[in-house]
Amino acid sequence: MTPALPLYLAVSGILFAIGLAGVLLRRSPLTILLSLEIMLNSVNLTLVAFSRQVGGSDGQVFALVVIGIAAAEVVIGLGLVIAMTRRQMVLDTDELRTLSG
Amino acid sequence: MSELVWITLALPLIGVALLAILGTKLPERGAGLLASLIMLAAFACAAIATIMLALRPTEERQVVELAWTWLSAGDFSVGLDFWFDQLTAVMLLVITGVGFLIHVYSIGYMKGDPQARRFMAYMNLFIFSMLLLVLSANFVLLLVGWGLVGLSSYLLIGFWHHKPKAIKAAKKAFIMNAVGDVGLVLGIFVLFVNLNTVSYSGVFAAAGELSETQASIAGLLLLVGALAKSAQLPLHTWLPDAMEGPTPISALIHAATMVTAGVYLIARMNPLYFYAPKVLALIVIIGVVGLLMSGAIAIVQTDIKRIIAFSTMSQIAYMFVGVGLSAYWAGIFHLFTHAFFKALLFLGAGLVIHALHGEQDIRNMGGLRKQLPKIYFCMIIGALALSGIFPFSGGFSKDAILAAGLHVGTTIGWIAYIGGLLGALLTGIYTFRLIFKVFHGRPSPYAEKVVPDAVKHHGEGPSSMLWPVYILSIGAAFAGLLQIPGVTHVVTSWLEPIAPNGMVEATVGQDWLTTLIGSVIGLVGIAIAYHLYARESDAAETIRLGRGRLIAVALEHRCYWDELYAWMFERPAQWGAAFLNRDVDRTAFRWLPLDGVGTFTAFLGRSFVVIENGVVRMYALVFALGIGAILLYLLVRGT
Repeated sequence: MTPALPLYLAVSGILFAIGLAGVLLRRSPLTILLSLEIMLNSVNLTLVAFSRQVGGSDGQVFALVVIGIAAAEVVIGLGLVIAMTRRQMVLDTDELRTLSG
Repeated sequence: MSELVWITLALPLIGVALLAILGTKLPERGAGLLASLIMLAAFACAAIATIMLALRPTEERQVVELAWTWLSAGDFSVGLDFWFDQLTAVMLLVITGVGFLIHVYSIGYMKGDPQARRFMAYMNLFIFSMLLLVLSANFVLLLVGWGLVGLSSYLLIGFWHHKPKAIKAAKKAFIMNAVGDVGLVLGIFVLFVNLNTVSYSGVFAAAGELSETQASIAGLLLLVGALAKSAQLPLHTWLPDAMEGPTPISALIHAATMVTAGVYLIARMNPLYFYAPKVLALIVIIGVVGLLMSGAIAIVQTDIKRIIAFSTMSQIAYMFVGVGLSAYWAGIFHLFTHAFFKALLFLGAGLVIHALHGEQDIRNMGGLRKQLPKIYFCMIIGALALSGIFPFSGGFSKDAILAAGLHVGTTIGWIAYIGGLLGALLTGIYTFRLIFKVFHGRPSPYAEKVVPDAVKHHGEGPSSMLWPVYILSIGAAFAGLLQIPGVTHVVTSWLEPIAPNGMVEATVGQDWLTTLIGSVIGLVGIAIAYHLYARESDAAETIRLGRGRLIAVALEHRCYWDELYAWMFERPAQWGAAFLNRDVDRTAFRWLPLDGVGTFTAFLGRSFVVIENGVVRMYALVFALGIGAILLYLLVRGT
């Protein structure tokens, strides 16, 4: 007996809200990236849940694509964080507001 | 067999990639060898594929193969497919075979040029484009090849980009070809609108459903493309200027690629042109006028390469006459023999220029026969073939075209016949004027100074340049024997199936009669040339300054086509630009409050700076709020 669709959606919504709050409230790039991942995975959860409900596999394929893209995105994000650390910059998104230099 | 065709197409592209990636890691000579070996391999593949095609029964000699679907939308689809039949096989052999010899020649010709690798890469690209053009089985892919041929010719004509004239010539060729491309594209549109397909097989099968007007419009528009690519009237002016490129390129453009594309297109489209007889008649007339005009212009040119360039234009015009008379086999046969003797003449001219350290003016040559005997001998073969003297190759193929005119027998047929024979006279004159001026008579002071020294140091030329010329001489001398009227009929029986509606073929008697008349007229032309140019007395100069003054001036200006186009297009554009600059920009606009545009934009920019403050969290908040607002709206609306 699997839980009903609304339960999945509720969990997904809560996860999404947590993630969004993290992105909006935290100032460390690392935490923001983590929060982004939470948001992405909440969406994945929705996709897979709907896919089960409808019976096709499209949603699962989408979820896989999202995972792949998320991995790529994290590589770039972490790369930026590492580069910033190397340059001994402040890891605070409110301080990092100019593009140059 | 189909794999071999794909390999033939892929090899030059691989060559381009290798030459581009390896770049300066390859030694200069290595780059030339690599490009040439690739061409040899491509030729081998093409030859084997052709033999395999020939071993099949006649009905199965048309292979259409789809590699993959390239574009598809609804029931419209374009595939990457090729069409390999007898006509394609001939074109493949000419392109790769003559192309290979020219590549080998280029190794010697470009020796010491710091850009030789780039040159080789462009040459391979040129071959690839042309192969794509002749192999494609649908109009879209044809257009791709068509455009790539234009691009590679631009790159190669303007290869010596430090020469302003070369750049100008390259641009001219590109723009003239763009005019033709527009015609081709419009023609394809017309076919697509009427028949809802862009594949050759679809168009050919349904060509009969077109009304004569529709077929004529489509045929006419395709003809515009063919005229530009083949340098025929009235889109021919780029060809003589294209001589600014290196000589091997001239040979490649004239013999193996590019200018033959137009003839190929019309021959390929014969099922369509069958329903557009008026367009075919127009092709014949354009051809006849073109061959007479360019033949006459060639007589007064003084640049050795330009003489041969105008002769190409004239010979391509013969091919147009051939295909216009529905004697497709004769047109393609002339294309085939022309590839040999024209490449031979160009490469020979390149050797002469080489020995003279870059001098191209025939007035600075003369008497080279004794110093360059081998080149002289080969050039004589090429010249006899070009003049259409029996039994050299040009004789058979040109007379096959003219005999078709005689066989057709209509007004158009007679125009083709008489015009073609007059053209043969001009051909004899200009070809042997070149021979006499360059190889006979007294050496000019410049030649006397330079040539003996050059010959002493490296003979008549490096062997990589001489051997291609020897091989081409054999072709130029004997290629015609494939189709001796009444004896052999390799060409007609091979090419017959490409025209489902039949093609014109003269009787054996008509063929021999034309060959006889054509050869006699050619010999008369040679005799006139001898009288005018080979003797000490300056008979030609007397005519040029005396009674023939007006004609000579007109011919030296190439019948004023360049001036006409300058007057029709360049001047109005310049006037328009000057008017806009002087009267609109500097006077009218000065009084309008145009500064307001700038001030307003700057104000707008400043007012948005507040939002664009660079705080990521702020952006995310706005983003989230926006999404929330949209979702809320959808929720409230209730759908």
